[in-house]
Amino acid sequence: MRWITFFLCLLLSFSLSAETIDSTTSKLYKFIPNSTILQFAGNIGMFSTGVRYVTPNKHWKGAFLYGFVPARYAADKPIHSVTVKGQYSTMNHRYGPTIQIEWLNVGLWYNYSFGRSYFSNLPRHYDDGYYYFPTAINIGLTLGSELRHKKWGLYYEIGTTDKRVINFVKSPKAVSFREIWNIGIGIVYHLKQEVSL
Amino acid sequence: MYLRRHFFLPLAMSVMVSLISCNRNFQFSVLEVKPLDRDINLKAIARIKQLIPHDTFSFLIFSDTQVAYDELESFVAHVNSTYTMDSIAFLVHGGDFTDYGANFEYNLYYDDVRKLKFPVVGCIGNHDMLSNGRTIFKKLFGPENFSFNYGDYRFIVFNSNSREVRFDGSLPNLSWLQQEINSSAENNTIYLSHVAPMTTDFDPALKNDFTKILASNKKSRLSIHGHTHNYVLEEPYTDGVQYLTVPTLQKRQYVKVTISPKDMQIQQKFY
Repeated sequence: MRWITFFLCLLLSFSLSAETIDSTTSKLYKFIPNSTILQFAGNIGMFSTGVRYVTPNKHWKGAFLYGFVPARYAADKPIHSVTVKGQYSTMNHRYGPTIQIEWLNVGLWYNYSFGRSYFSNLPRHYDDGYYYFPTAINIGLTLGSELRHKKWGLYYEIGTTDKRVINFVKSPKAVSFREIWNIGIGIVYHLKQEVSL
Repeated sequence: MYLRRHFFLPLAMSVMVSLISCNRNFQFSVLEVKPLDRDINLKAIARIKQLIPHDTFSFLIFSDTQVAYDELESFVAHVNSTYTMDSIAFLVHGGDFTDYGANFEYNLYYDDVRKLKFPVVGCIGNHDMLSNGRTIFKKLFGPENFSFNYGDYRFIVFNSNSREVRFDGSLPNLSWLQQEINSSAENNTIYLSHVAPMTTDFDPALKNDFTKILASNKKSRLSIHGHTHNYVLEEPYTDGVQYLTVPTLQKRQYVKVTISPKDMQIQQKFY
């Protein structure tokens, strides 16, 4: 839990510095993320937190997150992971002066879990091709929507993972299409003023 | 405009409600440990204890179901309709319930196999030890090394996935095995473990000791394994001990063992 606290403090300092930096006066402005995120579930941590950048045309987003699963839901020691997430945002509409909704965000994420229990390259005590997959790396696909009201946002994501998809393809009758999906929800704090669409 | 503005929240809610109907849909990680049940091996053994043992009895063996959930579903239906409570006593699984040792795979296996009307006892496979799989097995099934009896037969079940611990000598646990044999009151012993000593995934440093332990136990009747996916019944060490490898359920094959006071019949079955 102290890792989460550390990262939240880091993000808080981001938001405080964003208050005082003006887009017209600072070269640093470009490097400050557009928003900070806190997500629940979604296969990238019980809680995950990080920063997100958005392209000027508002269609492409990139997020970097640290995720945490407490020992209670893991093997006696927590699971720490990092995620890189890319999203394409479309069907965006403004409703009134302060509300914006992105109806369709299609995302792809790459998650790496730390620790000796998991591997990305097959350890040497196995023959080549013994296991065809890494256990430390998971890739996911998401579909979701996001709402923005002034400086705050809320989103949900329906997602699946590579291992789930492979599992479904191998046993399509027993593993129903519904089974492979999971849900994540998140809150967003926007650091930068909104650019008009 | 009003409708649109307030459309998002109800839409999100209804999507979430339809998916959150069971809280399985909030997943923290592919590596999470959240099995749907606890100690299912121990529960199955308690059921087996309730049975009145017969001199002639049968049990089924199936194995390596990790990529065969379709076949597992039809196997469960086949067994439930083909065998009555008098015709077989229980089933055993030779290991590899999962491909990645992932929580969702363990739970998918559990979802299917709980529909069997007979008790099922399983041993841990090599795939099942990946990631946090060993922890999930211990929570969902119970201890890795254990034994139970039916009538005058003791079944000794253990972890033989030596390569997963880099052949460090801890698997299989030979001192535990010898103790189990010494404390067995029954006159017949059947062993169940995923990796057989004939394969390269069994610790080469422990192979001779292991086969000697089995051969020197006059009560040894059969050693059951999975892992190599093919049906083989052999006596590879010409020491009187038969080794049975059970095929993967993906081939729609399983094994039926019928034990009578006279003999032990082992049949390869198809469905």
